[in-house]
Amino acid sequence: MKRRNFLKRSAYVTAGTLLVPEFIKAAQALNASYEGRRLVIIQFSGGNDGLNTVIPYHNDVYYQVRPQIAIGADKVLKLNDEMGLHPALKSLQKLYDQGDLSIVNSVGYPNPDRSHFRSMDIWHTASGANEYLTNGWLGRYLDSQGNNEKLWQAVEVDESLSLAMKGAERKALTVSDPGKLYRTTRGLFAEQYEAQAHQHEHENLGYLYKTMAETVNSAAYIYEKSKVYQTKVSYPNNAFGRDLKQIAQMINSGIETEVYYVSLNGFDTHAGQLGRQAGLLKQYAEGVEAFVKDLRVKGNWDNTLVMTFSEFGRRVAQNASRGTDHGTANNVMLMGGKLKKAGIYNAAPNLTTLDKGDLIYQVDFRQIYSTILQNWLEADPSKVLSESFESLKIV
Amino acid sequence: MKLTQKQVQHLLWRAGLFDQYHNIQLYENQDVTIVWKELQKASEQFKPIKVADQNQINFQAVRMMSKEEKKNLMKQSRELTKELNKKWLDEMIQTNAVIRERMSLFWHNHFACTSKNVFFLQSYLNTIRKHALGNFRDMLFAASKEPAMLQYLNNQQNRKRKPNENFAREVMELFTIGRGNYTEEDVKNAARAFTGWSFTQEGKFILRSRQHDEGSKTIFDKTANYSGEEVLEILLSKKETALRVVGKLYRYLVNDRVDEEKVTELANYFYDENYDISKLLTRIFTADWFYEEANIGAKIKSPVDLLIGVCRSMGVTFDNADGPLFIQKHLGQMLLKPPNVAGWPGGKDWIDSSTLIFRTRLVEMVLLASEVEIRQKSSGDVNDQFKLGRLKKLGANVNVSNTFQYLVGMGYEDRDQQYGQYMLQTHIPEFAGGENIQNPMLRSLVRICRSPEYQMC
Repeated sequence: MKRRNFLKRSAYVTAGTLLVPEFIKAAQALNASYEGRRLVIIQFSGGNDGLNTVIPYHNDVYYQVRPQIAIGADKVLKLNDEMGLHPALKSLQKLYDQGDLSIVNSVGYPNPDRSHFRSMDIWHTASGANEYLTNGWLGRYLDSQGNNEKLWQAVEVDESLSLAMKGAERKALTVSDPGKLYRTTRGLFAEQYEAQAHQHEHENLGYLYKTMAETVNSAAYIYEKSKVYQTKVSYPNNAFGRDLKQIAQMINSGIETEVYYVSLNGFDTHAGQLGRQAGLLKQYAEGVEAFVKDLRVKGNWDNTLVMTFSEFGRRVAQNASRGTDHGTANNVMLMGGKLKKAGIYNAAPNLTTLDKGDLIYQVDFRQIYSTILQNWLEADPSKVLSESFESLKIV
Repeated sequence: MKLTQKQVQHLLWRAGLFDQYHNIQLYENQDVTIVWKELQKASEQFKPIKVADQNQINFQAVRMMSKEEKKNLMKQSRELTKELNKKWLDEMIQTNAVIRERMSLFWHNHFACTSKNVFFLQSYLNTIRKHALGNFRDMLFAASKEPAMLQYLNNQQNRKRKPNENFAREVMELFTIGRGNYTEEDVKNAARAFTGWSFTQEGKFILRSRQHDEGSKTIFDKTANYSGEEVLEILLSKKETALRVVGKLYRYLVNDRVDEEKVTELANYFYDENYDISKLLTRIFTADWFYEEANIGAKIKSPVDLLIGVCRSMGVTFDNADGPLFIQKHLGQMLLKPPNVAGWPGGKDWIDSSTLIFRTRLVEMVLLASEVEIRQKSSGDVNDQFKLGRLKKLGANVNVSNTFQYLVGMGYEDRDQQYGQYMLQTHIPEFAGGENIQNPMLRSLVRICRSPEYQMC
């Protein structure tokens, strides 16, 4: 080892992270509290059965084609004369009554793909069924916001990053546990990365340094800042509950994050659907109930919008294993304290005019994206979506 | 041109699959044409990778099977698919035919495909490996006729009365001429030429003549009763095909940043040489410009590059398929399971905060058997072929004295510097950390591999 290198190295080690310029910037960020709008995306992975989630309990066809798995009209939580919620979704019924829930029926896209991977890809990238895009709609939103070293502007509560959150230049941060992330990055010497980020002969290497520096700084910022708020609300003791608690903690601490992303998995119910779906929807409803309560404590529910979606709905008729196979159009739920139009947004799905046994979409999912981008995030949808889509008047 | 250590590494990392120090020393100061010839010779051999045969697992009888039997069959297929992934990886780690496997990786991304039928997948894999260094015409015909590909792109639904355009579209957009060089009408008519292209359960390509449209089709302003094969020939006759394949290959082998002039020149050569892949590679790897500083260490390793590099340069092996699968999955490149027919985008796209942290820690997780503290994201599919449970350890076999063998020939005065020159293609950064690691060799390797520079090739 050269003596000069050794000296530099020891300096890094002893000085710790406190003298780092970026960290000082982060320290300033520590004092600021974010008051702007937030978007929370909840992904149901596996293809949630929308017809057993928002139930057309007055439609005979529903009962005819699902003799073993239809939810009895007496058990449905009724929203209006036609439609009601799965019995596990009590907290959503309450939100509906309060005008904080909007349901969009028959959301999909032309030439639907019934493969999990492909359809999820389409939802994540906001592409057509015939095109392959390499970055996600929220990632492109980040790109459209210009260069910004705050990796925490969008956060996925998970261990790996979804395509939806990857832009061409900017990507979201993944945090499953701020403490763990902080510990993992502590030994990684942010200052070294920072000092060297701009001096590389190769652009790609510079990109690695930049990402590393931003990750280390973000980990420190989120770890420190999320200590500001300690929740008193009790959350269900499961992974999804913990993830939502994590998001509420970050929101209520005033962390400067605009977009959050979280997934609940297990909706691929080809067999024995009733029990499995009920369990998942219960986790969802209980988690959301605690989350809304928590956000209301600090008055943050009004500036939060929650969108729940799945890659596809399931076939209208059940299969022989008391389950359902992959389908097409599905409902999307939007929740928040400041919806422009709450309630059921459009007509119940048509169960008689089908395409190969599947629902025909009425609303393109990119109309919802466009609405959120324009009306909620106040961004230009044309910078994110390749075509223009008619807005919905929900938010 | 005589090659320096760095240039030998450049060649072996890009055209090959990384290597141990001993082999790098062997080629140092040798003439590039001699080294290249030796590498080509070593890649002449082709042996198919086999994990399954028809007697063991029978897809032909699937229509007569009970639900339970079908379920077992699919389960067996999933297990064998994992094994296929592992076997290919092992081949890449052990083989001397490095150019063949390197190019197979490229073609797997160009003709990206997957299948739930392990026979079909195995056959597809061996087809791209077999033609990897041969002729692109043969490759295009063979890959397009693989049951896995026809199935993946829904061509069994492409029938005379009800054409399905998916296959025809991807053949034009992704395998050959690329977007902007055809119209929607061309796709529609080409799709009709591919009607009836199908396969048997035994995995043989057949033309189902009753489903084939014998009417006349207009493609690129010419009208005839084209067959699918004739459409492929027309596409090959267009220079755009050579331009597109060479452009992609340049980005893969040379630099993300394309030199248009060079690509055009190479594409002309490729076209004039009737799509001879080996000749094209010789042209690239024996050219002075390939060894320019701007091209060395300029690319971000793909997850599979990173994994193979660790194994080949440090003599690491894995107990079973789970460890390497976990790495592939978390870093976003599962072999035999590309995200879609367009393949992996590559480059900066590999990198986000979580993949970068995992990448910088990979070598210590492998060498020191540190715990893996990560839960994998689920694909949502209950029948996911590559589903993995929680993994505590990667299950790597590291025999320190074995690893040492891979580094033999280097001095001891400054391990960081010496190993650094062998592990990195960029300038050697300042290293820190790893003070708690007793073995000085491991300490050096770990701290070098923590650097962002180690992610470059």
